[in-house]
Amino acid sequence: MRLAAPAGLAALVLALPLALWYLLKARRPRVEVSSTFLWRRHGESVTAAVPWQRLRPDATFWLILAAVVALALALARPWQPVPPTLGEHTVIVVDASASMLADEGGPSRLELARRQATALVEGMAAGQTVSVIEAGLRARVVQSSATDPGTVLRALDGVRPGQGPADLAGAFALVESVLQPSQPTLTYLFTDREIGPVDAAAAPAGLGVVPVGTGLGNLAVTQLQATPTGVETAQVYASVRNFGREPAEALLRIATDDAELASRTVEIAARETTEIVLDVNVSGRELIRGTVEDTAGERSTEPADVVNALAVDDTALAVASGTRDVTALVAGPGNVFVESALASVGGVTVTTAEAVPEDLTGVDLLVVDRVPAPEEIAVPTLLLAATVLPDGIAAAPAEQLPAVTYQDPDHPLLQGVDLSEIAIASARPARGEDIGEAGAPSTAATVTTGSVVMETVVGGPVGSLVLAGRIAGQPVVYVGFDLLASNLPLDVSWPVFTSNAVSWLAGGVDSPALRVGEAYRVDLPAGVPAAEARSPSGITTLLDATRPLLRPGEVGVWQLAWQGPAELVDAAPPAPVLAVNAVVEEGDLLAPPPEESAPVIVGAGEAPPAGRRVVGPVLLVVLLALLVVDWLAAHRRDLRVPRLRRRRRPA
Amino acid sequence: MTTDDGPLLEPATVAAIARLRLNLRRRIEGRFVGGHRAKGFGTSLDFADYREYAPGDDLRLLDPNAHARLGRLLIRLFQAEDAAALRVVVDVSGSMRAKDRTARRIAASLVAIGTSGGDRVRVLLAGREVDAGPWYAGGAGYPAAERRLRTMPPAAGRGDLDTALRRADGEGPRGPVVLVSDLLTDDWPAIVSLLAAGRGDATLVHVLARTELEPDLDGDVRLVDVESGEQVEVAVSGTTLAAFAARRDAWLDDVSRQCGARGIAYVRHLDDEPLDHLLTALLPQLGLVA
Repeated sequence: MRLAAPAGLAALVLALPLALWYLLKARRPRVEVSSTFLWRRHGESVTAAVPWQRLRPDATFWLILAAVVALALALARPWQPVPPTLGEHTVIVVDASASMLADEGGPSRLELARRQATALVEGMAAGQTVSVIEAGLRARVVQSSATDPGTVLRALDGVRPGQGPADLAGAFALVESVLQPSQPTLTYLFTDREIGPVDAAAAPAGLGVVPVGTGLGNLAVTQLQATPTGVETAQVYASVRNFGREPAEALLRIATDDAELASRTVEIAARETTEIVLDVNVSGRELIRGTVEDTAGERSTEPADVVNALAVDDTALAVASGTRDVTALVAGPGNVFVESALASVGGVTVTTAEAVPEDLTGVDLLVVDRVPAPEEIAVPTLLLAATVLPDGIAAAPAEQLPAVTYQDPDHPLLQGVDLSEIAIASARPARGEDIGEAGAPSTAATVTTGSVVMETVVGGPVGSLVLAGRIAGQPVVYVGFDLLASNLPLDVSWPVFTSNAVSWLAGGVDSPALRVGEAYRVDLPAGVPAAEARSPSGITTLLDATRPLLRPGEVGVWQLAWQGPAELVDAAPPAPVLAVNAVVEEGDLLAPPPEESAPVIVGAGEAPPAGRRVVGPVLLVVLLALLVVDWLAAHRRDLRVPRLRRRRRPA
Repeated sequence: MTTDDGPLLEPATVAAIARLRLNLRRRIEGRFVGGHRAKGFGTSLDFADYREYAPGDDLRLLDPNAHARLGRLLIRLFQAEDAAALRVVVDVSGSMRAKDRTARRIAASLVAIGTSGGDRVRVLLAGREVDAGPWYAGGAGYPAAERRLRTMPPAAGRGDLDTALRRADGEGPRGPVVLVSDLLTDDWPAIVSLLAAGRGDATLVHVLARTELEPDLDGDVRLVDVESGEQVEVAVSGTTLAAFAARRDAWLDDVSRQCGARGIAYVRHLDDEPLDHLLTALLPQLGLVA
């Protein structure tokens, strides 16, 4: 401990008169009495010749001495050095991910972070600067090097809550950008989660972490999918997760904008997911909304009792593709598995041919099974081990017993489909300019050749086994192996895959379900130069061939609209509607919080004075308490001599 | 300097106590005829003894019945009754300052009682020196004594009770001695013994002030003895006061017990108690007056 005003210790000299008071004989008040005869035994005869007496400290002496010491220390203003709270330059990074929207019994976690940062900034002194960085879906600098607290506080108020994960790496990069080498800098991160290893590697040196929030329960609709099962029917698949510590009872409602379609109450164990399948009636393409709510009614606001603290993931969206009458032509030597699977899809009329006819009028879906595919793709086409491939796709030589090691989990073709156990006798992996040779590691790959944009949906070490994309603007699915040389037709996934393929190829609109922050590549129709994406809040983003990726930052329905010459736009297929849902991981409000750590000064230059924790006020309280105790101890009741006994008779 | 605060006794009080008479237990040895039994034969009406007739005896004293019975000339002898010579020793030491007037009033009362009964009273003031004073008798005795007591210097200094008691008993005829004192001295047992050793009836009027026995003290004080100048530091607490009360009570009981053992009539009087009660109730109970 150090002393800010050592001269205050001079007050210890007050202990001298205290000691003298006890050393010198007390000048007690003189009281003349008739005789000291009766008092002599209870008092002490004194002589005035010797002015001092032996020091006999009593409780009062020690209390007052302690009070003198406390006073001297308080005047000396002792303080403890603590890590400085603000540097010459302080960078405040605020986590603005979806989990920061959690309700902490009134304020959200983001509001709590704001308050803590505000308390930090209130100690801002002249000459100090503060920068504020928002670590949302896209990190941004809210305020750079502000010199007055008011500006910083307004910047903190300007931190916007996001609905996706936090781009901490991007935020840390922004921190580096605002650092000045000559300025000693402290960096704080206000967050509710541990920093992952990837982000930790990018963290600036000396980062101080301030944990925010408490562990809370949460219910979330983690997945919602609507699969048409008929002209006006669909099957809704929903998964609801209970992130809390205790079992919960939840009500799941499935509704469109116009009506509630179905509901079900489910019991969900702690930290478990329940899957629900409901059959609903839908007409055409409709937006399906699945909402979960806690059925227990009002509970206490204690963190341990909160069941559903985050609202952004209570609702998931899916677009029911809707069905239309599809005329499917199966060109090939005949495949009962394909024909029956197609026939089982609602609204599909199956016709067969031995080869692909030149005139495909009236054909909504062409299935090329073990026969040459047309050179030019004019209609949505499913290539099943086609012997001749259209321009843009080449097949590698057959590989025996290829293993399936990659599946795109988000592709509509694979919704509810798991091909990892499929055994394939032989396959001809797709080959394109951007795809490595057979035997290359199975990574997602894109075949891009002029008007050919194909992405790997299923792959293995030998290469892409299933591709999906567009050729000349037409949706195409390439399956690189003979179905009859695999057990796929016998797998439970086969009819689902077929249905997905019908929906994706000829079901009308491509309506994928995305997560906030997930990149979505907009497939511009041939001739259409651009597309406009409108967020649920009305913000528009222009996408074109040079910037085809959309990263939706909001939960809700994103509308795409083609932009370009009217004749091209009118001729283009309808633009997709994107259902964007919350990131599942953000709903886990029991995720371990970060470990608090104090920031370390970074940067050259004179370090700011260490923070001080003043101890003086505590000593003044101690002093006051000692004096009160002494007064109470010294307070006496009135003392009286027991009364004289009355004599009945004289002796 | 005198302490003349006015008459010591109200005229009504004097008139009331004038009806009281000294009542002695022992025979006295007076020089004047009075109403108390004395040694020897005198002229009272109480028959005492016979003696052979000697020429010159008063013939009126011959007992004819005895002559008829015994054939001898015998004269009757009668009890002597003399006037009592009461000594009142008043302690006028410094410790008596608080009850100075009370002691004087008691002394004046005894003078009034004695002189109104035909007895003689002497008041000895035991200060640093003993002021013996004259004998008071008759109707002029009380006014003179009252004047003297009223105008005497205030109590101060050490009191020589020893000399006063010796002079009281040794000077003049045998008679009762009344000591008016607080006995707040270490040698009080010696005083009591000396009082008991006298030739006549001994009475102790133990005069004390209420504040001496129930002092109102608080805190740490330095008590100063007004008589000796001795200083005692006392830290007044409940324990201290309880111990003082115990010592006080033990001392008072001891004084009373020693007086009783030595045949001294003992009465305690506090300064806030009515004097009338002492004179008309307590002293008669003692047998000093009647």
